[in-house]
Amino acid sequence: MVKRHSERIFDVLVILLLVMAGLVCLIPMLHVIAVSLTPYDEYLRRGGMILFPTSITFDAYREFIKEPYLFECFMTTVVSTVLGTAFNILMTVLMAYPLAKTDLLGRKAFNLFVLIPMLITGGLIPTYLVVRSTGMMNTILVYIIPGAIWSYVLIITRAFFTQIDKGIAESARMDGAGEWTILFRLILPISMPIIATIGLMYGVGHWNEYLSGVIYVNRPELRTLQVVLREVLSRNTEAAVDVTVPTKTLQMAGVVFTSVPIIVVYPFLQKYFTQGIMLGAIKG
Amino acid sequence: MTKRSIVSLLLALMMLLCITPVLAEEPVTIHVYGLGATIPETDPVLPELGNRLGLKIVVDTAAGGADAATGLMTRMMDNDIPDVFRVGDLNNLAVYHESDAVLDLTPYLDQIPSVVAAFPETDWARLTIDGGIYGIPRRGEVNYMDYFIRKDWMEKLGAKYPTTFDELYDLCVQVRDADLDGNGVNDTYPISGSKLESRAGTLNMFFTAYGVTQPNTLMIKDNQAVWACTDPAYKLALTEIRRFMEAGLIDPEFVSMNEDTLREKMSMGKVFLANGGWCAFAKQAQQDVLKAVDANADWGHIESNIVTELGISGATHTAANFSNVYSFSPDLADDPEKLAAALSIFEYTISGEGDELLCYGLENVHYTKENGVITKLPAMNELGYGWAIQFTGRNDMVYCMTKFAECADEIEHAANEVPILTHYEALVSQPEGVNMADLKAYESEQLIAFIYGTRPMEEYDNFVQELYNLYNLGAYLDAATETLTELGYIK
Repeated sequence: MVKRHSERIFDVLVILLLVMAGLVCLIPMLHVIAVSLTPYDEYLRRGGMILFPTSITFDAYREFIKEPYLFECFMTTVVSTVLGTAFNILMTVLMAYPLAKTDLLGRKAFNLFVLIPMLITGGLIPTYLVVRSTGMMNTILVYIIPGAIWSYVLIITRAFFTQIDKGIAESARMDGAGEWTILFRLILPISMPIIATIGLMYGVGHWNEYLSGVIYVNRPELRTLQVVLREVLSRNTEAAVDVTVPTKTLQMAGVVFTSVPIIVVYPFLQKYFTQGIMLGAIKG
Repeated sequence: MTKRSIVSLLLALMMLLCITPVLAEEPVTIHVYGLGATIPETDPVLPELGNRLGLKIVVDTAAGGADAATGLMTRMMDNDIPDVFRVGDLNNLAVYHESDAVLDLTPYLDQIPSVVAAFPETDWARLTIDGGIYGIPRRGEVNYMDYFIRKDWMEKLGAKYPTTFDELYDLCVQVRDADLDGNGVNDTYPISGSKLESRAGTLNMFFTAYGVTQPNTLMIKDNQAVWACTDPAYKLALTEIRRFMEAGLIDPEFVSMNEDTLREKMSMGKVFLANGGWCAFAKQAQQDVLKAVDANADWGHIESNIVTELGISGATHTAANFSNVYSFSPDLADDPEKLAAALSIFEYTISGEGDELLCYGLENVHYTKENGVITKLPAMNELGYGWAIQFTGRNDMVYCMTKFAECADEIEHAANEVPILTHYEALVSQPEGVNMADLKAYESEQLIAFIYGTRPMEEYDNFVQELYNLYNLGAYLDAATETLTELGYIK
């Protein structure tokens, strides 16, 4: 079909707008990466606005990795993200699957039970009391157990499961399959889009964990990377006499160091992510 | 073996068994909360302090500021109070006191005679609530603030240092028009600095020259408590500032700047005169930054003061010469041994070798000492977190001169030569019915409007009335007068 002139202009405008929107997202990231790789004196000479470094140095990164306990905190963040996300997915699936069954006894009550904490949270101090009395203080479990299931993720997952044809489970059951087999051998393999989607949500949440690292953890090696980054970025007032405030390049190196590992995961999950959203949209 | 030998052997074994637990006894452990900086694993100072005092110091969290306060409050709610904790905002001390979460030190002051003697009555009075003392004061800082100027540009212009605002105005106009950094762009703002309410505030030169302190502060004038911006001199200072702003002589971005961004602008040749601390501009690493773009850039303190009929330009300094103090868990009252150990940290480090350990590290490793004079060794640079473990502060002048000998001129000038105006708001607790945070926010917002010309100066008196009518400033000033009279600042 040949497009009319006005349609072509419209397309060009849409493309231009999307390119601009893309640049708005891309330029700050490019700037942060470029500054982190630029020698500080060159950064100053070029007036601070750098998108492409003309000479590259890793000095800022070398300086950043001297932060006390950085490696330990990195490992804490990686382990809590991997284990935490796996645990989140398992718990969410185990709860969402039965809630998706329309013949579940007391389904409405359970759903209400899920909805309430989404609207009214327990609050910091009650949560602290629970965490402390269950012996999780100063362990990596504080990043994994307290947020095991997020209500809205559970609702998304439940919605996905309700859209799966009931015939699949029924035919398997007729062939003698039990509920565990049906869930893990049949339902989960066809639910990879939603697993990837919620995995990404949980994973990013774990990677960006900050408050738990401040409230529930007293040992420096058990802090998350975000806590370390905050400390580097806010090091200015009281420490002014003793500490030379980190240069912009060092601050940007910290930002890159703490955000790139989670950003590189996105492309690998992109296709599932899109598919997951699309499935919900079409069948919804 | 005779019976007697067997009995002797058994007795010896029993004695050994009795002694063993004593030998293996763990030292008292003191948990310290909220230092504000991560202490590296390699830190030699706290373990050495523990060895000397026969105790173990465990740092519970490194978080500082609001995060530490939130964490501390959470622990208090759970009755899990750290043995010793840092209180950043002294207003919180009253809250902890109301919650019975802090120890009254009054009965135990005889265990810390050196600490008691080291601080004046007014410092103890600040930590006194209902007759009890709830924290250990901290030795305050000397003034670091000064005005830094491009001396090489002064030479280039053949100008003399200004002593009046008219002379400063003419000098700034010359700088604005001369393109002294030679980049062909008219991008140099003669005057810059940090945000309005900071002690490094851009406009403090104007305020102090008219005898008033920066916004959001409380002064004592003619033996009366005065909220600074309500003083008639403020209007004169703001009118002067407007004249400079209209001529493009003040960096309009100052409201969002800090010393970090200012230093970058200074190095880029965008600033001629800046307010800030020597610790932000004079240290070697910072001098390297300031010379990164122009190796001839010569930043030094200004050689003159601006004088008006009402005052002389200089710095402002808070009368609350300490903000962070250490307080103790009330649980320690039931454990005298632990309390004595916790107090010994303060008694030992208030002076002498304990003070030297926390300030300078280990002798012959981080410093040498000859005839009582401490000389820094390169390893002292590894103790950049030292400020966080100085439990009672430090003798600041000696400390700065020892650690940063290369900045001696600037340290001396800021501490001894710069005229200082004192402000007192940090000594005054907010009375009921007054929200000072709201008042301060409104004040800053409106002052910026006056400075940028979006609110006409003719409305300034109305603005002052608004502070009284809308924000109950009168009640605050009554409370301030009472407190400052009690503390002896108002006679």
